[in-house]
Amino acid sequence: MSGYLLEVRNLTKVFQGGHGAPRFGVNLAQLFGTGIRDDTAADVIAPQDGTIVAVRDLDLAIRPGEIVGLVGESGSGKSTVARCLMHLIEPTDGDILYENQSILNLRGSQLKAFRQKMQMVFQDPTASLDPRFTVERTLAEPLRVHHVTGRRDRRARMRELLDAVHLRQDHLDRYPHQLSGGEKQRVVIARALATNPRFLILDEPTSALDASVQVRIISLLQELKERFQMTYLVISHDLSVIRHLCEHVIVMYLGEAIETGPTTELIDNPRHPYTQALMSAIPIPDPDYVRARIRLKGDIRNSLPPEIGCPLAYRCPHAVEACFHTPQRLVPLDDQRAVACHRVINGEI
Amino acid sequence: MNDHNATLRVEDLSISLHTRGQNVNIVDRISFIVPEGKVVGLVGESGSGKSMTALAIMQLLPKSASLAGGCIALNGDDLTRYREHDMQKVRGRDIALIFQSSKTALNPLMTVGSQIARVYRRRFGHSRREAWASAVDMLDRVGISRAQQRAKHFPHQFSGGMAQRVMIALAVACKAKLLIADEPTTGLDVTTEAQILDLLEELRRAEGSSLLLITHNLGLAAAHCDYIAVMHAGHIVEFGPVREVFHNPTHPYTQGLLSSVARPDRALLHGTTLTGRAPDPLSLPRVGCRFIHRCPARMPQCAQPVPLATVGPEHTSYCHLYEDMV
Repeated sequence: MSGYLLEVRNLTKVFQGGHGAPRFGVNLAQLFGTGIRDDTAADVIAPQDGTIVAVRDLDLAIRPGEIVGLVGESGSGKSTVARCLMHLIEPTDGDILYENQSILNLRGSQLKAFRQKMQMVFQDPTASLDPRFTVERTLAEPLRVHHVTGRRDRRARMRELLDAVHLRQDHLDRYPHQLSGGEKQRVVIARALATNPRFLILDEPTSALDASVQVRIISLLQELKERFQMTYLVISHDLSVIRHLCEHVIVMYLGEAIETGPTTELIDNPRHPYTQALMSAIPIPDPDYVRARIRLKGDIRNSLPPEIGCPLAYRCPHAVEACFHTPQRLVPLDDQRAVACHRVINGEI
Repeated sequence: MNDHNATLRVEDLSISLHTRGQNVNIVDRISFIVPEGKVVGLVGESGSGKSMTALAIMQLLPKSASLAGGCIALNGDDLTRYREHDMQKVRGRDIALIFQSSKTALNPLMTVGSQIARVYRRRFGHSRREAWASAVDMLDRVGISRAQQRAKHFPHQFSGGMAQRVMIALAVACKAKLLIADEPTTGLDVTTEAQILDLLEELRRAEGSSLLLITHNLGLAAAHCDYIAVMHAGHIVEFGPVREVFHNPTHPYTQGLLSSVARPDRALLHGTTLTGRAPDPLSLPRVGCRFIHRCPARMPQCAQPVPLATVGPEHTSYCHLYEDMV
């Protein structure tokens, strides 16, 4: 027994190019921002057939009761990881173990049973609620599909769920357009809780909400975790949310983990240049806050294919010649933290 | 405050919304100024009336809404007296608006180069050739490399961050004295957001323009603004220099808002966060404070008309707590 609730080994997901696939290579050279060596740009072009490696060799291990955060900007592969974990898409390579059993071969009733134990709260509550379903119908659906309760106990169970997310009984008759952003998020969380899952994947749980509502959803999630002894994987681009929810965090860039560690330590003392840039870009609500301005050049498409060198090489202020032709792997710094940057590992920065 | 060097002076502005047979003042007698060459942040939660205020300044209010009083003075001229024909000259020439979503604000059927060139032709009477050259220059200035080729591309060929750069190029090309940016970085990644705001700041300084920055992100407001106007349910509840408002917030709403922001660099403060939600626009009290039902410092007189108190240098608060400072 490994003691992990969820274990991911070498997860890789490749999207084959083809009709309609985004063709990264085509205009890449022209998309480069200022200050990037345009003469070398042509070398960076991704495979012309449009094949995209969304996630590459990702390892993940989550103990029961832990909250782990997956951080990264758009295009980093975070949502692809979530969709693989939920068995919504098939990984290209690697294995996903839930309670020490691979979920990849689950089919039919076994898959359904697994999904009952592991639920997901999707990004953007407005988009993930059916506009023609009342809250009651939204909550009833998982109860019926997964045979959680009989018809008679269904209303009682819905009351429990509403209670858990601090909504009132009269919310049952409302349609999504009659709810505020925060209320919709609570309904979506209640729906995920309906099947008594042990594990929740939360994809950007607060990004569609106002600041004061964000804080209340964060404390609701903390409360629910304690109350139902749950385990979370939180996916977010917002390090503030990660800081307040997660014990452990994994920073992703272009489908790879580039830094991992305990949240507070990692946020207070980021080591990888990308994590540092991400931290320094977050606006802090204090006019006197002095930020170390670590600015990356260009954006995520100005990246080197990871099998050639460090994907950040073109954008990194610390890049040296070796970065352009040395693939970087996650290397432990101590027993808790790991980083994928040879300059950090060699103690040069 | 020295009014004569204000680029924009909004006084007692009210906007009325016609909905379900009622007229509601969704923006109610707000006043603020944008001093020349300065950045003013209009902050507040969604639905507080920030974007409506911007649209009113441009006189681009939707049909369901209308001005219900007050004046909007741009360099001393009251825009509310202008007819549509005159406003068309003001837009672009004197005020330029940077929209929330560049993807929908840019014309999908025109190359970005010709969209910017059109500004130069109309605004400065450039020839076709001159206008195109200026457009390419402008794209280069906003950090789009190979501007010569990129100018021939359509908006859908740009990423979100690059399209927002095009939007900024379009707005700055006008050389307007006043820029209004409505959530200019919504939907962008934080590292891109930082790049875009740095760029906007650099160009704004170079042109000497003033900026009204509309945002719900208090972090952005703190980093980029000289003055802050805090909006709640159609009222400006607090206005003042950025340091004053952030370090010495006086209105209970501002205090609640500031303490309920999750920050990556410290743990959450508990106990002082905002409760409840912004009032429904259809059931707003006609007089008195609109924060009354959420306010921890509620008093009997809060249902009475609210005084505007001067709580510090250039710092005003719209609250009965400071009645003796009116």
